[in-house]
Amino acid sequence: MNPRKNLLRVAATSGVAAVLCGMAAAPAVASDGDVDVLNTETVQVYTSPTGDVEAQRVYEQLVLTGNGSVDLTNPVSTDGLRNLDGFGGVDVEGGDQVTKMTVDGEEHLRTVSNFDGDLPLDVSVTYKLDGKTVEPGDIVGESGKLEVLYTVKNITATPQEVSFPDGSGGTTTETVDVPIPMVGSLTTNTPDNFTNVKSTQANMAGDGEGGTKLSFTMTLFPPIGSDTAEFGYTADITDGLVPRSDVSALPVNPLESPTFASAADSYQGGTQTGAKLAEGAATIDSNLLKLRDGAAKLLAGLIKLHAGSAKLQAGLADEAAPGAEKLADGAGQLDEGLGKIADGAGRLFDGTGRLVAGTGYLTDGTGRLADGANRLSDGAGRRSAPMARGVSREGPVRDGRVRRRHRTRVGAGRVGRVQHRTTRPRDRAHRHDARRGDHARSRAGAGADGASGERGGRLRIAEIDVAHLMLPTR
Amino acid sequence: MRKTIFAGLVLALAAALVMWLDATFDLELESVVLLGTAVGAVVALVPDRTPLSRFLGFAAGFVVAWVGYLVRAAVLPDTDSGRAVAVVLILLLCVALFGATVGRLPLWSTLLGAAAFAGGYEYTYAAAPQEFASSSVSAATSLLFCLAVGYLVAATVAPQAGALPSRPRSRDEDLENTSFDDLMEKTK
Repeated sequence: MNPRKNLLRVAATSGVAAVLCGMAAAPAVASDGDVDVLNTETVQVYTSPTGDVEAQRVYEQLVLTGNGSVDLTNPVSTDGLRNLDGFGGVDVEGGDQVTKMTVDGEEHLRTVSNFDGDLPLDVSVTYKLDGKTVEPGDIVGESGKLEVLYTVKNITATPQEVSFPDGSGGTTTETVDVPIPMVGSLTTNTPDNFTNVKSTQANMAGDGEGGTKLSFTMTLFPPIGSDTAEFGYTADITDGLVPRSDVSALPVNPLESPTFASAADSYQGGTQTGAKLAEGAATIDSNLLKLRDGAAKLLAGLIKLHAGSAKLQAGLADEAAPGAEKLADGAGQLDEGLGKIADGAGRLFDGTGRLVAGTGYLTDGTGRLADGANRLSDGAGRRSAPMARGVSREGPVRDGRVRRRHRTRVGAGRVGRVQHRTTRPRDRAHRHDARRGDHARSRAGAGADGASGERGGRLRIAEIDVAHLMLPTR
Repeated sequence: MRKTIFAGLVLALAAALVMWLDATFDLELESVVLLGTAVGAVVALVPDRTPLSRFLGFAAGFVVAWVGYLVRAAVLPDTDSGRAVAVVLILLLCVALFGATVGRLPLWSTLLGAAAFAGGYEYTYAAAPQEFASSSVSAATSLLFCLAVGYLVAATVAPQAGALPSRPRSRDEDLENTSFDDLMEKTK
């Protein structure tokens, strides 16, 4: 068995190591003239069939273009360093390749050395024969259904601070793992004793020699791809062996690569849209908070309303309903009382009429009394002219006339022991509907103003006092 | 003449057998079967000195070429000048071996050994110089297997032409063994 067939070679091509070393890998150039320097580094790794690293080298390739003298310092791995472009050695100072040369056109400097840095990719391979996981050596010479699963992981991620819009007009900074954007491919060529070769991830074609050529592509960075790619194939094998596989990977700039530029633009647009969406969501969120506060207030109010309604219910049931009944009773009583008031008022009106008539009679009588008194006075004067100087007990009598005092109160009069009821304009209201509230108020607050008749004692009844002429007695 | 033709036929059958073995056991010998069997037969058929000296000379040249590739892979630059230096180095080493053995190892067999290794390995080496450690062993073993088959078949079947002198004859010896008539014939 050719050992090469058991060798899985993983070749990380141009630029991978350069990116691994970052800026430290960039050569420092002092140029006296116009010389461009291009440095590429290639890490070549040989692994076992399961992906374990067996050997790894780094190839440095410097291309100097232009005219002038160059003083160049390039960080390199010095273990096993060898010049590939000349018989001379490589000048190394402090771990850096130091080159002083004059360029006229184009110059190449290639070196190779053992690589002791971290690899950008982690490659592992698992094999299953008839559904059972086996070691690669167990496949050799066997027949059955072979399943080969490759796992390639981009392990260049380093924590970085990333700032992005927070959706509320500001920016947020978070520390996230950012890998170097890398793309790659894995190719393998199954021999002609591999039949029924199938893969859902591979681009497949015949190799012209009876075998099958499979090519897997990998986009090893999120969000366009993933930092881990898993793929493989199945085949029916006889007299099995493990085909050689080659993995190539290199870093890309997704914003400039034509392959990824459109996707990157889409993601950039999506990011901007997402920022606007987040901003809108933040607004909605703030409004939801307000709504929540309002709902809380509403809930509190509803709770209070519930408590108040309970009190209202209790009040209505325990107090208002009995009170309403009392009110109804009172209203009935009021109505009855108002009816009585109306009757009393009617009687008062009648009495007042009689009072007026009596007053007329009284006036007439008084007139006659006065006439009689005058006549009496005249007669007395004539009888007692010589006694003209008599003395009155009660008051002076001047010129034979008796002074008459007349006191009158509005609305009523009393003669002797007779009280006369009269109606006042205010009392007419009591002839209206007794069910009106003012009647109730009048009953409750006005007191005697709304009552008469039965409670005539509280009416201010006008009195007419007639001064009694007290004749002097002897 | 007939024995030589017979030896050629047997050699062809042997080559076919090797191809069958290669196909049966997936030995990946197909690229060196013709080269190996043919060169092996040459080493056996050339009537120069003893078969052992021819074989040793061939093996020495084979190893010298192997060392030359090792130097090329490990020391020399990967340039035209580096490859030229490797070629010159291999040839000089072959000559040096011839000189060191005072002609006991034929120069031609040494050169043939170096050429056989270069012919069977150059393509593989150029494809992946960094795989010299594994690929050179694979190429050497494949080539040696075919060489052995060719050498054994030819040495067994081919007519023995008689051993030539183990060392080059001097001009005086040649003149002594040449008749006058022969000299006259050569001068014509």
